[in-house]
Amino acid sequence: MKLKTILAAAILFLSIPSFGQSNITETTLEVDGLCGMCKKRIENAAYIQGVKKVNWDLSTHELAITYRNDKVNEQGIIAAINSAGHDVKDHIATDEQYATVHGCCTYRDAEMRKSHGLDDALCKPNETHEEHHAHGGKDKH
Amino acid sequence: MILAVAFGCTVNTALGQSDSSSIQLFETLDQVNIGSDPGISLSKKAIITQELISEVELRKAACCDLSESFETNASISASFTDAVTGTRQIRLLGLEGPYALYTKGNLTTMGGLASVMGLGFIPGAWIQSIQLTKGPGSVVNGAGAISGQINYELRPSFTEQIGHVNLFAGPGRFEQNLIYTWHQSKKWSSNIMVHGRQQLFRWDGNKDGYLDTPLSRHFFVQNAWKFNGKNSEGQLGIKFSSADNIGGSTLYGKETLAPIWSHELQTDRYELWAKRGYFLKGGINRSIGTQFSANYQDLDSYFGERLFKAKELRTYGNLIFQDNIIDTRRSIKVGADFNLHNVEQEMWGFNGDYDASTFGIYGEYSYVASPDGEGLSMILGQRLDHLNITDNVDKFFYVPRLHIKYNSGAWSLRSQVSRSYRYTTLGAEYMGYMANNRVFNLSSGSAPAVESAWTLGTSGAFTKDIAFKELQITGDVFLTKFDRKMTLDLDQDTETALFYNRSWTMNEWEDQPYSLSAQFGGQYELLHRTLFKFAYRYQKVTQLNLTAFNQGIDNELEEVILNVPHLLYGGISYTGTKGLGIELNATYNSSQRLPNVGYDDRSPAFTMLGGQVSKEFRKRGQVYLGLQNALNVRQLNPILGGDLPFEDRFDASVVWGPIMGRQVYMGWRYDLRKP
Repeated sequence: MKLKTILAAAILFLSIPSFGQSNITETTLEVDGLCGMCKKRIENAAYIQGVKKVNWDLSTHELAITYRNDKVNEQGIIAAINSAGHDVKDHIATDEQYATVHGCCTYRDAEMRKSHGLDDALCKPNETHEEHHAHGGKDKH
Repeated sequence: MILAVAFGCTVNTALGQSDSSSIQLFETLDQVNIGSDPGISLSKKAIITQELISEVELRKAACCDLSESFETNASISASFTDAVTGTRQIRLLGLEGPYALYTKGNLTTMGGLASVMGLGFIPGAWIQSIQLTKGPGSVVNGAGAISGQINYELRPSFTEQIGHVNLFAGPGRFEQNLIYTWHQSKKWSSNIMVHGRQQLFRWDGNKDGYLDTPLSRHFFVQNAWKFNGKNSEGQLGIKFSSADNIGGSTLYGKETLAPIWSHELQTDRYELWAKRGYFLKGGINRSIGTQFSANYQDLDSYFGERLFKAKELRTYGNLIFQDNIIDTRRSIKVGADFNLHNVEQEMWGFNGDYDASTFGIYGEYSYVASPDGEGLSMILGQRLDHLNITDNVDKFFYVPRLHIKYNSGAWSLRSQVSRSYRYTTLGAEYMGYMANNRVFNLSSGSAPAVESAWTLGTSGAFTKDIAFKELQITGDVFLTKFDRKMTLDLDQDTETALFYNRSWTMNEWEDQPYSLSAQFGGQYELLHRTLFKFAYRYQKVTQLNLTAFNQGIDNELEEVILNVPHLLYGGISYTGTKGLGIELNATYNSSQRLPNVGYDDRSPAFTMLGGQVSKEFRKRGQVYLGLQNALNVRQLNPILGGDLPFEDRFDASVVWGPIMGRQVYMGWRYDLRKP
């Protein structure tokens, strides 16, 4: 009897990770941003229903993300990040979306990037952002 | 994991955050974890058992000053010292407020006169974060901290968040906070903090003829400077606090036939501090630092027919040298400090004056097996103090402390054995007991009494990702054994407050009064964006049974009054994507022992339930609306014999529960960032 209970508990415990593996996707996205406040905004935006874990690295600009692929897809997460005003590689936010970020987080601004020690933005300043957004993922950089 | 971090938008974030002594710079930097902020977090690297309470957590409660900042934390309970002054005192490991050490950026701030009421002088809106250490901490900060250390960091000036406004309104209570960084250059920055508080309306919800909360007017202002040089760092500041309270009968200031019992308190406090740290050549962590602080406080008050006047002058200085030895895994701190303390107190016939001076030298060795905190770490600290109190104490105290930590994967285990001592300030620490007509029976005199204790503590923390979310489980047990202790006893009758100072030898260790505290808790994001927290705490606190002692039995211990043996805490916290926050908190307090004569045996058990909804707007700041004491629990008769306030029986000093019932509050916060 006792053994049965222990066995059942062990199976239940071991099944947690395997249950997770089947529909869990782990991926990284390149997301543009400047600072700690951007990190907060990006992670907050990406942490939608179905997303299990988010972590944006300030130095590499990589957003590590773990989500349930039966509940949400990558497009949905990218759309959420865009709507918070942040550019994702190959998915540039619209000007209206970008305008919502705080004045100290204007990550497309060349001067600001320089003062934070960053290279070129994902969104090139001389191109129109609307066009980028329309092309979506097809646009190769 | 969730995310409402209010840290500045800046590359300097980490620097601005660790607005503490330069000596602690490296340690504090390690603990800052931008972005992942569950509110209360445990530092994996800290060798001493510590909880970091961030601004996110502080925003979850209606916290208006430091004494009210622990509503969502089971480690600390805050309760009223009495029913008239509105002063709250905290209890940590079952011990009252003065047993803890309070530091601002690791600089000792309160003691003596301010050891209880001083917490009310630190507005919650000024605080950036609180580091709570259970049990005695580092010897660098002195030989006190019998129950632990509460280190608070105020909002820094080197940050891009240059302004903060917080307006609060509760029942008859209004608070205004304004923080503004008016100067920032490459090396220097300075901010000004202003706080105003008013209780304007007479509030007597229980209709006992006494104000539930005193009419008050508080005004605090502070100007702090910070210097960041190439190889050095410095801070200096001044602060002025003024508080004016009127409590007692609701008829204060009106014409009455019979005399009324009232209370007034007026106090001004001036503070000045400076810190300086230099990084020396020849070693990565070689540095030298100085800390200096001075404060003066003037207090004028009466409690019915009792007058209490006090003046305090305190100066403190500390010189610390830090270096690595052999390699970066081993470091030492050595230094010397002093604390000069002059107190003049006038208490209806008692002389509470004293002059105390402490000179100490210390050395601390720490070892960390690996930089990520894995494996074994330890701190071995020792200090030798010479304490002189006029005509009373002239003695050396040896204070050894050992902290050990072992990290292995998801587990961290910590243990400590520590010695600590302090001295009491009879008037100010027991101010709540002036709100009665008991005769103070000071059989061991009114001079400061030295109290000393050994603390044994052990704690374990387990953190692991389960279904991709972090599960955190913690537990700890602390035992504090006193070999010198001041006992206050209200059990004899309703007319006397007995004070007695006693010491115990090593052979009498079984008879020593003790405090035992055990806590178990955890947190997990069970639902998406919703954090669930729970905690259970057990506390047994004993003291010398003075009634038995006076009958010749000198080794009997009894449970102290007003200790909550069992406490259960549960909290749910939801953070939405669009800036919505919902908090729910419940705390169950089991029944507390009351004085033997004139009261019921024990108080009833009660549950405090509260909630808050907040919404952060992109441009217009954050608004919050909260409900405190939703179940409307009250101690209906907090003042015994209130109808005959000049009879011996009058007693407003035994408060076990809330005096105010259900309360709604609201407020608005706004952060101004650099354009």
